[in-house]
Amino acid sequence: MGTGELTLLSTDAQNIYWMSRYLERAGHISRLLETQFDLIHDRPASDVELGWRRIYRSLNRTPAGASLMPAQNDDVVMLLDAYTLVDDLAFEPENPDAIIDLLGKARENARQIRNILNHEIWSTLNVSFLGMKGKRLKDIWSDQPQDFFIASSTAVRTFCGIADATMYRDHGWHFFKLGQYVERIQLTCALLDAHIKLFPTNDHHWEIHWSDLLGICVARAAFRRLQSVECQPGRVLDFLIGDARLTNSINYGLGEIQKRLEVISGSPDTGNKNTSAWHIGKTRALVEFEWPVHEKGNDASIQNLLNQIRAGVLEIDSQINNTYFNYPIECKSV
Amino acid sequence: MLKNHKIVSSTNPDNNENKESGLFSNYETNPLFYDEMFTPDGEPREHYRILWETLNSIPFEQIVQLQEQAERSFLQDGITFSVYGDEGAQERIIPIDFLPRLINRNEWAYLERGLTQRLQALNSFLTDIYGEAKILTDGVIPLNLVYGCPHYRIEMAGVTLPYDVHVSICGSDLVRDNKGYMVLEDNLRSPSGVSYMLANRQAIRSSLRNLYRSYSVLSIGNYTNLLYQSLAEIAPTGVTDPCIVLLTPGVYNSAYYEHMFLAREMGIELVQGNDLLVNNGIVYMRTTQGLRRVDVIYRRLDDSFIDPLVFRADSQLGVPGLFHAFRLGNVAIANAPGTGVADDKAVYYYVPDMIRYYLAEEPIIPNVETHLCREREGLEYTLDNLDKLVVKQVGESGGYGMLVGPHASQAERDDFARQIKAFPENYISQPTLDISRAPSMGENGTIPCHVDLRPFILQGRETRIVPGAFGRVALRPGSLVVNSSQGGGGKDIWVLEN
Repeated sequence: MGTGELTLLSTDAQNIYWMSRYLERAGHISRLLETQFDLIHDRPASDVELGWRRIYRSLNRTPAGASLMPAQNDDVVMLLDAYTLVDDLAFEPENPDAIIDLLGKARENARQIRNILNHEIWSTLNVSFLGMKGKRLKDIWSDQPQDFFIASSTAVRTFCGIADATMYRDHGWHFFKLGQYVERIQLTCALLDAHIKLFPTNDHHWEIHWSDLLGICVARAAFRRLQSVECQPGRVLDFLIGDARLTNSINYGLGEIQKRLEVISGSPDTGNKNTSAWHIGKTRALVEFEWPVHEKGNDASIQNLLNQIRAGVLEIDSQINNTYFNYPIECKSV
Repeated sequence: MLKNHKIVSSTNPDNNENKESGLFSNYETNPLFYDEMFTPDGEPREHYRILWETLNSIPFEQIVQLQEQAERSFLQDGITFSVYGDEGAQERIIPIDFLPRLINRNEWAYLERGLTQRLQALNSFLTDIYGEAKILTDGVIPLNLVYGCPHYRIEMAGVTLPYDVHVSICGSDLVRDNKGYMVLEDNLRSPSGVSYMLANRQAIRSSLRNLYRSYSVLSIGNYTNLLYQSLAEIAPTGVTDPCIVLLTPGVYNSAYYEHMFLAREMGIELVQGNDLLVNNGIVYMRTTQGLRRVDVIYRRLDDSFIDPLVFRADSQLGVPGLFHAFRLGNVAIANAPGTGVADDKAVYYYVPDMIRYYLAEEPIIPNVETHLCREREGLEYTLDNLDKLVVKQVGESGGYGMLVGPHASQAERDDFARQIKAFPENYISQPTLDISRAPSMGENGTIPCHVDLRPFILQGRETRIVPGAFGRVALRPGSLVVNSSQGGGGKDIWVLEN
């Protein structure tokens, strides 16, 4: 009984986009904690500390209650125990990016668009959420707490897999992918930035941490197969920034964003599409043309490039909002 | 496993020998209440016999598991509703009673005829009162009752609608006592429950697959097709392929699941007020590709909220200018604004008169005996018999604002009496009905619970009714209130082919 036309309500598109972003963020933080638990179990305390610093710097967050601590910035993580930090990232009600809160928000977005989601997608998300809802760290701490984070990142991946296998390829699908890659690139840039600050690229004592970085980005196996078992920082960065086939690389993500925007703006449109096209082109150029000739070993310059990419993606996010979700009516009257 | 038990009749136990049953072992019939499944002497009624035999052969524990499985599927699928004022329970599942209620084909045909007749009269009434108002000038219904009703919308005066359809979707609540069926009330604004009718069917059919196959149960699966068809038929003149949307107050509305379900099943957009706008008398929805014209709005919010320029100015849920577009005939709204006047509990009293007046027929399904407190005789009778009556506020629905006299304390009755005396026109009273009962799942077996049913009647160019209803059951022992907001549950209704 549908119209046969690929129309999509702006609010539905916005809900799909944000559902996807929240899920991507929840999956990312779950992977950070999965890796951190590996450090807690197998590494010296100094590595564990660096791991916490990487997490908190990349998320640009100060742990809840840190204002009461005498230390400044991320030094505060040294004063808190793992239980407190994990709780802060996974369950803290005041943390808008706590995993449980992100999953709840994603489900709330999904609830508002259940009429356009198929049953499989909805029930996957709903069942995962209901399984985790109401959990507190004390419920999982005495057993195998990392299992919770493995389960949450698996739930996100399962959801994305089912979406990939079952979603109709209309604009809703493209907004889903847009949200996923906009979020992923921003998180990856922030993670690389934090990592480089802690583990300078010209210092080869940190190889194991570069291997951890590949693990967080689900890129370790591919890196070893294609590059080397030795995690040389320059090569790792090349892989995570410039590889065109690694789905978690910045280059791949930008390509996906460009592709989705082209499809979405292919329909009759007015106004800002050229602006978003311009921004994606400019941002891709940073990765495709500037990065390969970039001076390796100059960490400040690498960080500057990562910040430019983030700024470019943020601008694209703003363009998506202004063009498709909250556009001024006079621009789009028919 | 329970077995070798007897059906217990509270008055005539001698008649119940040899009625062995597992599931129905402690079930008690009571001649005061018509029992849907058992005759007064404890025999299963003919059309229930297969169900009785089949369920007796399943261990009780297994039945409990099947019931739990059905409830779990509701939770996983998010088939929920919300209770206002209950902050801790934004999403609850409607408890589902595992045992279906069976209705045979002849009985259903009678109900169909009665419901069709009723909706035709109600639509004629609405066309009339917003037009020439003949029924009022002829003195059949008191003029001040209609014009004083808070749901009467003067803004609708003079508006003509395709096929004179004001009510496209009607949900009438039917109950039965020992004398037969009665219409308890008509829901003509935004009747809800149809999604639960469909979800209950799906859950019970998959749990009781073999039993379902043993009966020829008439399908209700095409309800959303018929709804779409009915909505398309009331589209503005000249629109052949209308753009239909469902307007919801949003995700926090108690019936949001239903809104989402119906939109999905009809393949139409589920919109909120801020998705729509009116420009030059035309309604548009905001899409990622720009604005798209809307022709029919199936609205699931009250009149007061649909347009802040005409009704409640503080409404954040509606669309400014919508009513103007409607009056111009550029968009259809289902149900039309102002239909609430016809399901007012005092106007209800006159529905049989409407049927006689407009259709020159006798009502097929009677009303429940009703006393209007606005009339001196009715007021006196009500006040003298508060301990025997159910008193309802005319403007309320959903089981709110009512007094069940026999179950209320003297203090509660006194308090209600004061309110009735202060504003008699706000109240009606009805006798406490001996509503029929049917076996429902209790913790240790089946228990008799009061039941009603809400069939959905659709009106476009013609009247359409699917053979089924949202069956409701008062799961609290002894309770007569079946509303889901008051502890009621859902019960699948099987209309049998043979």
